Amino acid sequence: MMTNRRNFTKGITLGASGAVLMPLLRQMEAHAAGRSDGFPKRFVFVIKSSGITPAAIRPEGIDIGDDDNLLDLKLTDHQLPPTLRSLDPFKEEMMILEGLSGANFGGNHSSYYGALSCHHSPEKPAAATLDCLLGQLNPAPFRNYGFAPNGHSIGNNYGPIVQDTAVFPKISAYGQNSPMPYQASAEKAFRELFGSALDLKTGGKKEFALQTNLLDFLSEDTKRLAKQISPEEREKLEHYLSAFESVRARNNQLVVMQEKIRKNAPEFTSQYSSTVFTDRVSTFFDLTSAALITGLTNVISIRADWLSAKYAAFGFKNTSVHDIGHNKVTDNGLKSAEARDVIRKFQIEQIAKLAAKLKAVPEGDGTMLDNTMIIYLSDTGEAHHSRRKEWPFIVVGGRGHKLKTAGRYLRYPKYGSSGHKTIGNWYNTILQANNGPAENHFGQLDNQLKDLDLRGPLAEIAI
Amino acid sequence: MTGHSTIIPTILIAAFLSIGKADATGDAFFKQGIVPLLEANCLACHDDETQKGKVSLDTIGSDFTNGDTVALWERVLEQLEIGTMPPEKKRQPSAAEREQIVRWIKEGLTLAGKGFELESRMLLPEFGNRVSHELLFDGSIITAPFTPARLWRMSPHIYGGKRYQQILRGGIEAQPVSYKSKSNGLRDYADQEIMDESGFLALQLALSDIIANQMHDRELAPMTYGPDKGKSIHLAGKESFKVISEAEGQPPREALERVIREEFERACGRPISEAEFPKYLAFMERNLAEGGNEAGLKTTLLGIYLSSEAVYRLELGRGPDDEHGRRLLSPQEIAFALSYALTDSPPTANPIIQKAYGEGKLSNKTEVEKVVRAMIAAGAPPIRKHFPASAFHRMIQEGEHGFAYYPRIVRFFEEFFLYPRAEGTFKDSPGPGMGGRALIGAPQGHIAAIVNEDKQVFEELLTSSRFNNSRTQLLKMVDERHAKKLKFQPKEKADAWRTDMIKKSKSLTDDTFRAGMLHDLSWLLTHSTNDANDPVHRGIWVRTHLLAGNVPALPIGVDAKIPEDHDKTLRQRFEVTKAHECWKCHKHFEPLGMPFESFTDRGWVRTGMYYSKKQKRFETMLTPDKIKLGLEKDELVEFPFDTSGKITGTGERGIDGPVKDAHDLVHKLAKSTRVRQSIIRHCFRYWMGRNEMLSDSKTLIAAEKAYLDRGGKFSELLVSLLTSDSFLYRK
Repeated sequence: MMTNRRNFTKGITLGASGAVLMPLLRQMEAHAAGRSDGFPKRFVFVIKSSGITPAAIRPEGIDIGDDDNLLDLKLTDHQLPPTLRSLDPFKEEMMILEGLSGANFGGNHSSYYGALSCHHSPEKPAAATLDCLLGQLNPAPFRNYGFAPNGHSIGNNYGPIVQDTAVFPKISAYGQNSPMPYQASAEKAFRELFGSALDLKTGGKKEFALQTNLLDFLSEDTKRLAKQISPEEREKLEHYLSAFESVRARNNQLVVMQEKIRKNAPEFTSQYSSTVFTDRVSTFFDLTSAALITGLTNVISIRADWLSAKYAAFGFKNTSVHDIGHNKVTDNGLKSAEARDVIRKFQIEQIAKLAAKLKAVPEGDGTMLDNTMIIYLSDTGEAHHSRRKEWPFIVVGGRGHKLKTAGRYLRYPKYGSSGHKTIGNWYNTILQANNGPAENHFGQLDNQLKDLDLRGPLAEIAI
Repeated sequence: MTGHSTIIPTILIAAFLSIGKADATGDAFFKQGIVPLLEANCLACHDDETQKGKVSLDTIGSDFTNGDTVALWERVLEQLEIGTMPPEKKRQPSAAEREQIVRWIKEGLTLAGKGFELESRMLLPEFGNRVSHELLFDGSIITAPFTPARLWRMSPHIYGGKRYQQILRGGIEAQPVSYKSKSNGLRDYADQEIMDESGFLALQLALSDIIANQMHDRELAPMTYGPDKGKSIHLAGKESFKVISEAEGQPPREALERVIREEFERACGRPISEAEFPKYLAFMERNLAEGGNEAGLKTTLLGIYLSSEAVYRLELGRGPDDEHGRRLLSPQEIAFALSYALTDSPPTANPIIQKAYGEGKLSNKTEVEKVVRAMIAAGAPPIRKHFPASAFHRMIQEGEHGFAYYPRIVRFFEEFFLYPRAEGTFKDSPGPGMGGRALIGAPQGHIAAIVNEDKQVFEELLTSSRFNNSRTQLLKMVDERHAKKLKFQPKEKADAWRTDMIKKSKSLTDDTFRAGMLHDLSWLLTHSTNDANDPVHRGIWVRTHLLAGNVPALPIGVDAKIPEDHDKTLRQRFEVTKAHECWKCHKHFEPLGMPFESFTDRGWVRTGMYYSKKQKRFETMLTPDKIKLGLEKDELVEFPFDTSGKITGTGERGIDGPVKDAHDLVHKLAKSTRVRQSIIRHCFRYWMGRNEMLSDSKTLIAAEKAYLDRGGKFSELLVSLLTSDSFLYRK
């Protein structure tokens, strides 16, 4: 059963009562659609900055020729490029996807929200992004969760130091003008995700219990005001009240899950307060596997780095990702392409480690990795200064996702050629496989490609 | 107005307005009050024989239980509200007659269960112009104006002004609350913004951080750049918080009281009342006892910062009743309303309002007027949000401060002209990058200067030649600035600066064509597509913003696409819209948008249309020399250059009729009464936070009079609006 856009948006705007009802509604819809596996579909988006060089992730021995034809090859027939070797054990359950475009979603060094919403919206989100839509379709106590080493602080921050607040990295949005916050502090993320069941010095079980006081106090305060106003205005307060109720509902779920949370919570080590960039990123990946295994959320977005990030651990102490993009030689003498290889290798290793952890958890006939799709992409397409006529992806896991991604190298014909497709087509494919809204095209169409048929999902990947 | 309008005497309308629903929708009233209007105005084209557009109103009847009848009346309502029927060349009903049918249909549709839809639609900014312009300004309505009692969510700007956070250098901050309104223009409407789940969660997350970071002193890693590079950073926690969070055992009661009183005032913009205080104290004591000092304090502060009064403005009308059943805002509500009318800070931050409130002088219109005038006289410092990049644009912005820089006044013009959106315009067409900051900074400076000069403000906004960023103008400003510099700088330094500026200015040309905001790069870019001019959206903007007009919605199933032939001019490509089924709508906006063909799609003035044979496209950035050379070498082809258009719908002699180009268009518009009134209606919406209702007629007429009587003063218009019954009374 396909959910059309109207029904779908209705679910989103139901408010909290809707949010509480959503899992039930979805289960019913899943049931009606004959989905009987019962395991949640999970997603991890790993979004890097400064572009992904297509040639650098291409398996060895593949010649793209004049790039006018679809290339559909078996990964097992090829050697992965050196920076992707850590993925060797997953060759039969991954896909390297090339040749898609997203030319019309521009922005200065980043398409920001556009990378996942397929709109030109560098400043403010114009529409919901793919990760948030998937979070809505695959509910869990935390609808979505995001980790980002830095971004626009929504709390209180001291610019140049390591960020320790919630941030808007300008990547994900629940809807128009509704950006999704990410957590930049590993400590705070740990407390938010696992604190409800643990005895911690701050932010643990005790503080979690106080939330009930807070919600009671706010409800009472709001109801007191509601008595003084007209019924029309009261409706506004009801939206606010329902927000408390939905937090209460989430808290109740967390209480029920207490034992599971305690069991799966990662060990709280000094690494959580590390200011070393690479430590912080790997902590985010640790938290990701723990949160997924616990069932706290089904969709996690990780902002892998940002232009100002400096990979000091690799000897790039004074060379930022942005500098490297501008061909500056690193402190330890690496040229741009070499430094980019080092960074990519690190990010891919994190993904491989995450995949291995998920593969170690049995689920149904397979493993958790079968129901988890890890998607590695850049926020700006193919280069540091991109034209976005190519936008490469690496997909690991998710064999149970009703998509033909296992063991493939797929390259679509070049921008403008017959058979060329966009990232909007790709996202549409993912959404439709998840009972998402059936649209002709996800996001804005590219005016320059008006002669191509860009409707529907990617036939090569959809089942 | 036609002679026909006297057929339905106003007594009948008055009778209609006073009778009950059952009577008004009854068959008798239909026959007596509606059928004659249909016969006089509609049936010539829409009877059973003629059935123009396959619409027959002969036998429509008044049975609102019949689905077909309801659907047909809905269509009639749409046509009447947007003013497309009767067609302009036909005899027109009077405004009162039009309103009479509109109200009767709405009553009927309400009985048919469509009342909620109709009402909620009229609350949306994009439906504001559906209220009859004629009736708003003809003086026939004598109802005492008021605003419905309401809650108004704090705007993102007001939220930012609360200063929960410590002021820190270097941090990039983002807004946990943002507008959700679909409107591109005026959007801070009390009705449209709510605090929902995602708003609550983002706010809670942000506030948790802000509070946690102020609980203790913090030592931060040294700065890595700037003048303090290498120095370690000590960030002091908030003293009042530390006394509690760092106390061994139970903290002193005075400390709890202090935090509650101080933070409540910060969050709600008013002192906590003695009745409220014990509730907050009990809440805090419970939290401290159950969660310990630190967690307890944090939870308490969240309770204060997230309380409904901290996220909503209350305008319930808590003052005395009057004979019309309205209630005046209480002095406290007035203090908030005035403060948020011009600034984003609570009244406690404004000495003028604070003083008046403290002395008990905010309880009637005269006292409010005194405060508004004092605030206008005091002015505000320039805001730095769009501080322009180049020296030229910076100079434009550095005039006297004046009242034009009150943040809410700056924002009105941003939302009215939409010029800041130029920054996000994505361009495929050939040409250099767009300097975002200068693009926005320059018009902002010009608008502020015009508003501060406070003479014929609307006319100046629409026609001022200062929007030509000419070299002569720059050099004049350089000289003025140079003279100022000499007073505080050594001569060599000032002279060197002058020489440098003259050198830099060489790339600028003297442009004289531009007149007013609609010729500014920013407005043109905002209303353009990624590779072409956009006569549709430009025309719609003029129709809706300057002519208080309506544009029919794009019919469902119509694929409104202009052919993409790159070897045709835009005018040629738009030939397709001349087909009858397109033109009946397009005629309302396209002739208003086409004169802007005077500019290239990147907003530069042009004198002709030149097609490059080699590039296979129209060139947009050619200098006169290159054009000459290109034509001589046969590399360029000259195409017809047509910048004509037409103004309709003002009903004013000398305004309605053909215009020859963009210059002619804006000069004619600036002379129009309807244009002035249309801008005033938008000012009304912005400052009242809602669409106008017919009962606001007196407020609008008074506002126009105030503006005109003193030679087009924007300040007088503001005083009039902010002391109006619409602003001060609730019902």
